[in-house]
Amino acid sequence: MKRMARGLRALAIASLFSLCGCATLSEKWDSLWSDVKLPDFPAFDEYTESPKSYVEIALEHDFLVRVKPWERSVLARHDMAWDPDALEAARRSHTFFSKEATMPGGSAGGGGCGCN
Amino acid sequence: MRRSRRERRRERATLRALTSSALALFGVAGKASADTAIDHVETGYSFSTYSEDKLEASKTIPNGERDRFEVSTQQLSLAAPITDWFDMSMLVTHETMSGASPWYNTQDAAGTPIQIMSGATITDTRNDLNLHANYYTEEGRLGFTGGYSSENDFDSINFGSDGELHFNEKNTTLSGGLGLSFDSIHPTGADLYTLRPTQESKQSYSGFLGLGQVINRRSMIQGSFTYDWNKGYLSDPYKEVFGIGNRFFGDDRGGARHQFAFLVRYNRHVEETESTFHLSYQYYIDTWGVSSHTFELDWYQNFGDAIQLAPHVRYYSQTAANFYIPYLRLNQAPLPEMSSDYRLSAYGALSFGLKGEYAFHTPWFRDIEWRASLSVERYLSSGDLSLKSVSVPAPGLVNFTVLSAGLTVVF
Amino acid sequence: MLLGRYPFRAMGSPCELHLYGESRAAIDPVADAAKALVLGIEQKYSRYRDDSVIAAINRSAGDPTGVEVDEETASLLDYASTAHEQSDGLFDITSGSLRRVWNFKSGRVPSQAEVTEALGRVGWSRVRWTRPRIVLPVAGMELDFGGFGKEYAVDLATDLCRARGVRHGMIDLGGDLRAIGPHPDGRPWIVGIRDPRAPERPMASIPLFSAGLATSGDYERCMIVDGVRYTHILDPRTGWPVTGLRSASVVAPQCLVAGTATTIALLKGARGGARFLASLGLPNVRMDAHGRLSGSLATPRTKAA
Repeated sequence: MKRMARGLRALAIASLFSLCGCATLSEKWDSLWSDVKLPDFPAFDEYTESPKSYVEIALEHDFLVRVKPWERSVLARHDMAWDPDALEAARRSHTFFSKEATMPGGSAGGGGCGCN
Repeated sequence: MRRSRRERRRERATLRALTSSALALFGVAGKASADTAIDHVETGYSFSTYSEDKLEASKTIPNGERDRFEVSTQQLSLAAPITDWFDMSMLVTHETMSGASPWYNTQDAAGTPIQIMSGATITDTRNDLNLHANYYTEEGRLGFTGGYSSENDFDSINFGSDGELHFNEKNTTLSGGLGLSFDSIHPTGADLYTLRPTQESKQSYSGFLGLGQVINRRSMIQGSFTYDWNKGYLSDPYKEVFGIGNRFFGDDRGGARHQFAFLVRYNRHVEETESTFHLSYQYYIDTWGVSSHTFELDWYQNFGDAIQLAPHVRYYSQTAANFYIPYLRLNQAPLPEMSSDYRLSAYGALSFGLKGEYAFHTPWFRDIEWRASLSVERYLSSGDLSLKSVSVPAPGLVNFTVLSAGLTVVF
Repeated sequence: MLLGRYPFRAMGSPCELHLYGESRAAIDPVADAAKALVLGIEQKYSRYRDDSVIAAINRSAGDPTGVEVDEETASLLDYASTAHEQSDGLFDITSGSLRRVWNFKSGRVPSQAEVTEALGRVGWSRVRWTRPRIVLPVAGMELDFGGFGKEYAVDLATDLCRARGVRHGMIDLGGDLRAIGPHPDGRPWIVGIRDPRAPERPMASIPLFSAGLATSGDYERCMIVDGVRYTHILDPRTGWPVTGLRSASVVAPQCLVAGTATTIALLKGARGGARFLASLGLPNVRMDAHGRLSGSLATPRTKAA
């Protein structure tokens, strides 16, 4: 049981960290493939004030872009909310709070209970 | 045919001037990005059961009580818009808890700590009512919340306020909140157990500040800091610290606790596979000496519009509180603060879960949207799962299983 | 998801709304609201209606007190003022009165004296515009929002559809278009720009995800007198037609900006127009007087917008 637990722990940490890495890399990966799309905003290089040719836009990527209100269709998805199922998130958070010594972050106050 | 830099710069300025003038025009004519109240009535019901694994025989006295806790919870929620910029919601919770709970630790013949459970099984009911109201403006939202919770041995009343401010066309969001909670503890059996207090109170004051940023069309990130100050009676009236030589002392955690949590979360939608994943990490530290790390990964896999399967995994690791002690040795003097509660020991926990959701419409007299969900979660904790190795893990560490079913109806 | 197509007529052109929704019951009201919005803008700014805001302003020409206008009209006038400034006076909403001397039906070319006299009633710089009051100091001056009214209506209708929850669709008001959002599966709307020399075959195919597209051309109205081609693109500074690009199509986040860009491009003449579009930084395709295509959207490999 001890070895299995240690193995499970190592596996969990390794996979969580590698997923973080994948998430970061995938941001860059995606933009490399977006050369077919032109941006929906004027293509200025704000600093040098030189026009961008479309080849330039394809190779560089805007890591942080200003997403326009009409481009928010993905961000507005139900599963992109911080807590898609707010009730279940609250329940799980309450369960962990009553069995662990940690308080859940990201919110203040909320119901008390006699569990800790 | 070479045009001067000045001519080229002018043409860029032309487009910028036209675009910003056009945007100003559409700011007047149409408000597409303001926050508004929810535009439909939503109600939901859920039922869930929580059951802890029996205590392992090796972790307690022979023929000792091994049954642990079982909780069954029902929740009813309702949310409705009142005007374009004001909505309210309500949540009612009814919970029944029963079973034995950890009482104190002692040592077995080999000198290893073992857990003694309270003999009597406690049956307790908790009722909770929570109300929330939201006001929306161009810039964001302001919410107020109030709640009352009551069980056989505990009452609590809480208030809070939270809100968000949007910047950069809602690409950046500043969020914050404050909360107060006043609890009154009146443990059962106080007349039978001399160490158990008859009436105590506890107050909590908390606040959080968060900053969220849209990274691009399919991902966003948020960082937040939460602070909580607890004072009053913070100990567990049903737990005791045993001193070898048949001495019993009350669980005493002092009268104050300051808690700090730093949370980072990241959401990303993957269009190619129609899935979204959520990644989060929290670092926590408090003045009791407990510090913890929580990693969570949720994966939402969509199959068309109707079905969603969401597995998730959570890894948690905490250090022990300064005053955690399984039991006092023979002739060891009692400490001003001490607790043998396994929840304050050093350990790690891994939990896995799967949730399935099915959404459908019934276009009867109004188009009604239904969402039915079923989920299961398994939680395992042990000293071996901790990030730092634990020499003597608490014998009372618990494994549990949660099963829940829910139905949400949107009118 | 189903696609509803709602054809109607407005602003003197055939219009069509393409909206995706869960059911007709869900999108019909949105389409009705969008149609009402477009027709409302037409009525409010129509030259031909006595009860329109434009008619009221034009009636006040010569009156030093002028007319006070509402928020929306004020913002449109601010936009027209910006466009006038940015185009060195080429984009001019007072140039409509030149129509009177250039009557294409008569097939008659006016004399220089007639043109000079007409120019006395043209010029945004003569207009006294201090929000919210507009004064047309010379009798006979008139404003005409025809040059950007349709594009403005396209953008407003798009915002309305999005606000009502329609995330996929396209608005087409007589060739001035805006994509509300791509098809539900993510495919863009493919718009073909008609080739004036061969109307059945598009000279460019433009994919739209959420941007606007506007086209200006000189091939619709023109007259040929003594072998000289006179187009209806009149330079408001000289009063004479400009012979330049045959057509220009521009993609921009707002259809309004796209339309202003095409109007200015056609007014800048053959070489000036091409240079203007090239340096603006927006995807475009243009045809010169010899029928040659150029611009970033002119290549066979289509780029998305």
